[in-house]
Amino acid sequence: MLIGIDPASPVPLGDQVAAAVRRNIAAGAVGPGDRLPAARDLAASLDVNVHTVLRGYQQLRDEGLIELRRGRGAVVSATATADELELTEAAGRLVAAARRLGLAEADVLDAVRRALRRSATAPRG
Amino acid sequence: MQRSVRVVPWSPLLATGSVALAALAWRDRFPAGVASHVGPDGVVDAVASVGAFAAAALAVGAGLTLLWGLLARDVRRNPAGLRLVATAATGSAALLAAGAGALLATSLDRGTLLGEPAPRWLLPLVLVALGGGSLLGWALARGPAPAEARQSPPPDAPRVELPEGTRAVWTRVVVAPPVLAGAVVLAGLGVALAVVAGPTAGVPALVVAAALAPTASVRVTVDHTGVSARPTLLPRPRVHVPLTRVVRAGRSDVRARKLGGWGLRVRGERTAVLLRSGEALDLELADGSRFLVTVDDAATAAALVNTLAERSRVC
Repeated sequence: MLIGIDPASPVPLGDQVAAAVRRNIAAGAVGPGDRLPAARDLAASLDVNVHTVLRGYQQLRDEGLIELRRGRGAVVSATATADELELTEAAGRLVAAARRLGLAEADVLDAVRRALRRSATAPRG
Repeated sequence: MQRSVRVVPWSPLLATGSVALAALAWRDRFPAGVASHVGPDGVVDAVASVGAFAAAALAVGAGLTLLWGLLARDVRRNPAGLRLVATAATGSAALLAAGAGALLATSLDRGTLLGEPAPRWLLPLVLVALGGGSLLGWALARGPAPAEARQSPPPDAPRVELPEGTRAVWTRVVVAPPVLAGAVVLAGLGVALAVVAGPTAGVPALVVAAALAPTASVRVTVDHTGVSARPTLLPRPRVHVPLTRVVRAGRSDVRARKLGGWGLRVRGERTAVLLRSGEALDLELADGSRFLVTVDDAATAAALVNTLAERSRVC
């Protein structure tokens, strides 16, 4: 997998690492069960601090895309498929929109339920 | 370096020749002949006449000299390969000199040999000689600093789009199913032998399995320092090719059978880390040699190597 970062970008480097790994999972360059490079090695290759890479990895773990285990390193989760990733990204966009509109959690879940029901009754719509 | 490498294949013949000469010079001082073999229990279990011992030593030395000479010829355009041959040649020479010399010394002025215990220092001496001799060859064949490529990779070599200021790394794991299977089978054999024939019987198979297992999976990495390949789970041993040595990178298909099997192979001008047949990252180096490592998506890796090499030479 190819991981590129731009130190001049305003996006934090840890986020860039996470985004690059996400792109690789979406493209199928790494899949469930595959081991990511050790944070120390990746940090050395990219010439960044090891904590920067670890922040990116933790972000991916929080999204359920990878598992971080002591001594075993970072392994892509069984559920981290391209489909799953698309869903996670769409959900992320929904949450971002909800935050911007100042919606409560219940309102967001309501909106999702309504949308699900709509597509169930009118599958073509 | 060239001269020392040309001399090095002769070292086994030199070693056994000296031992043979010593045996013939003192031929009257071996009343019981010369011990020619020591059994696993540390007891001399075969004896040869002085003449036969000297002839056998010479034959082994000549055979090894021929072998190393032919191998050195095959890899003459590959500094890494020459260094390996030199290491093996002087290592084998030292091993022969120490082993045959020690047998000779043991037999000197001895009335009986067969069934007598050999000195205990025999095995340690031989091992130390092997290690020391190998190191000597390794040091002797140390070449000048590897040639560096001055120009950017040719324009037709593949590139990746990498805006200025960005950093990039490509990394991928390649697994060798036959090696993995071999390690598993050996481990099973070791356990079975340990159960059937006692705990120590399984040790050799288990040791080989343990040595084999880490090499079944290799991580290949391309970054600003160059291309490296190492076991996925261990930091060493590592093969590293600095970007400065790369003339151009490409993708090619290799057949493990043509390069002589799996593992780290040296053939002709090519040095290869082979874990399977098929797609490989192929680096043309400034000294005319080539480095290959089998890995999927080698085209992307090659493109990044070219891009990073160009960047390091332009700036």
